[in-house]
Amino acid sequence: MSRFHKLLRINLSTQTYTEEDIPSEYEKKFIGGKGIGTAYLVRELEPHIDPLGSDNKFIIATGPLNGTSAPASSRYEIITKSPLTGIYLDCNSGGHFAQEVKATGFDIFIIEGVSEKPVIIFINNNQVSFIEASDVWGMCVYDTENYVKKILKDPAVRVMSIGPAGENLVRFASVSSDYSRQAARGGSGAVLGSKKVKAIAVKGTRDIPIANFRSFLLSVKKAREVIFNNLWVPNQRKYGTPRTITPVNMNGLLPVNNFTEGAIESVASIDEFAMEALVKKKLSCGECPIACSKGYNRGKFAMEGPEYETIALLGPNIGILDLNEIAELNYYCNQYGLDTMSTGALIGALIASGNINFGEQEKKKEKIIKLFKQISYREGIGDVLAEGLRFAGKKLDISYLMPEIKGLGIPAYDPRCSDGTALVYMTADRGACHLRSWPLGRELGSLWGENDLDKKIDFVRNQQDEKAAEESLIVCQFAYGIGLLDEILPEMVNEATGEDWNLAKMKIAGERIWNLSKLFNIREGMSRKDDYLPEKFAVEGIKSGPLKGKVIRREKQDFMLDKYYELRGWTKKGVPTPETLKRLDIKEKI
Amino acid sequence: MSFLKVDKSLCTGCRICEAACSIAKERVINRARSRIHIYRSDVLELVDRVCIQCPEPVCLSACSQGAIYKKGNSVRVEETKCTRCVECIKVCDRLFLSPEGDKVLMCDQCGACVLKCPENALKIE
Repeated sequence: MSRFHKLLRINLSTQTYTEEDIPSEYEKKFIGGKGIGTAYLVRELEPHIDPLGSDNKFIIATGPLNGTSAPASSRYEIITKSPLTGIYLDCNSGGHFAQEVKATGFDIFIIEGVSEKPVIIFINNNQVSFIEASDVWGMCVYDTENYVKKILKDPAVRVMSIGPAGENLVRFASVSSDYSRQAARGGSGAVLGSKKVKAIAVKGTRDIPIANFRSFLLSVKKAREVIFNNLWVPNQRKYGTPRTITPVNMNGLLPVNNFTEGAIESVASIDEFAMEALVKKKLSCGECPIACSKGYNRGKFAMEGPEYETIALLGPNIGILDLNEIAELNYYCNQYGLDTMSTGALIGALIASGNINFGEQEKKKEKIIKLFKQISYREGIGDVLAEGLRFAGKKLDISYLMPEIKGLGIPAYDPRCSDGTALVYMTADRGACHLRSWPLGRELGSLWGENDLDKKIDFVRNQQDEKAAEESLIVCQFAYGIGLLDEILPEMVNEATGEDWNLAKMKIAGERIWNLSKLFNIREGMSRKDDYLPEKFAVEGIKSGPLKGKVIRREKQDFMLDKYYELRGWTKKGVPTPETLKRLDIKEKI
Repeated sequence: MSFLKVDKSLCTGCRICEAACSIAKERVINRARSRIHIYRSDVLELVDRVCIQCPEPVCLSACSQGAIYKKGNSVRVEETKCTRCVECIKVCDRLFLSPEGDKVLMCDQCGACVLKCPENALKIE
């Protein structure tokens, strides 16, 4: 229960759809969300298929807590093969889309094939219609969402859509829902674009089945207490993610001028107080009591955000220190459907290379906005940049400047800041990602010193497993903390599903998921050589700030990888051993 | 006459009220069975839809079955008399039809959602 045990498979080539049972073995082994989505991806995708071809699949997955009244449980996962990295991709987003997906009576949608013409998929409980979308093809994201609501005559229908960047197969195009919330990383928007899907509208009116109704509601009450006792929550509620700017700058790990310097003199123009002065509306994802989303609105420039990653990567990283200007850049990324993070990382490298003259400071923003358009419509140099960081790096001969791992742009915490953070980026399943583990706080808080490398490595491994489980439930880490910190999570899942979970079992499922995505990546040709930081971070010290001179040398990276692989039960080449696969009951072969 | 008032300056659109309503009134979790609905009409614009107990209710006038009636100052739906003709819903978007079309859903100011709102955005006044 709290599961429908069913998936909806939609074939765009034939414009047909079928219902299938989800094997209970999958639910037991992979929980839901990220886990089950990964299991289907690995099972159903042939090796080496083109991520932008008809063989790729676009999986939208929810977990056992989505749709229920569990606090902060409105996140959905997209699982697909990334056109940016050529490997495994999962990305998730909040908002209200997840609840609606679940209420259709399906836990997962698998979208496959390619539509002949642009199409809007409308999933109304168990009925699917394919609406011709040639008229709306080319439209930006906000207008698309309004258009879909209008033609369906339902202002409350939930809409996922892409902008021109997704249509034009920009390899870091995002998917949007609730206007300005994105599942942005890795180019899932281009996958929808390649399938000619402009939007997916969802309406669900099913009861969410709950195994033990009264006890579940009591658990939900307890979960709310857990959240409000989390010391981290009050400031998140008040300021949202922009509050990260100040400590990151103070500790010297802010990406400044393409990850050159680690700090700027003052963050007063871009910090949480600057943001607070501009916030017009506090907003929330479904069923969340924190409401950390801050609504910005100045003329047409309206959005939830900018969030921390965007402020940093489209701010100091590209030499812009005005929050209104950053918001404007954020707005255009939202409307075209571009990942603000990869875009910020890419533009940062481009500016540093001197390949493009960005002119005087006051003209810079306009020049960058023009570049966003060129990327989204693949005009001029935009056509090269649209191919992603790695391709553009090679083509423009600026690979050394390109901050990416496995092709995915590095997030807004300089990897030289901490050994653990470097390892997190190096080993993350989808390429450089900050969301898989968070050793940074402990390292900066001096819980571990220079000699505690083993502890840091073990922490990363452990939390990667926990986080994979958390993203299979799916709940928000801003409410519950990163990973599996409280028995309330398995308690809620058990009361909702009638299953028998505890934290240890969830963690093993997380480890299984982590190994399965690893197998997928190995199958696509990834190996140890892909698990390193870009050369720059090993040889060139941070130029200024408290971490001046800091590098993560190649020898240290090697040491960490050796130890990390060993702890995981992988070979020196980073391949799970047969014993490890047996222990985790993984039957998929490489 | 009291009604459920949504203070939109405080509401964040989390829709905890919707689930709370379906739990209180129908003993299920299904936001489509809620008597209150919050949705977005634009990027930052929230719209709330819940019965505001009009002094001269158009739904009452539209109901030919006498299923919508006044009890003291309160407007109510008598389920046994309702034929699901939906004439009331045609004239007012603050009451709703259940997903199966077997019930007209109107807020009766029970206050279950008020207790659950984390923003104190709901009041019965």
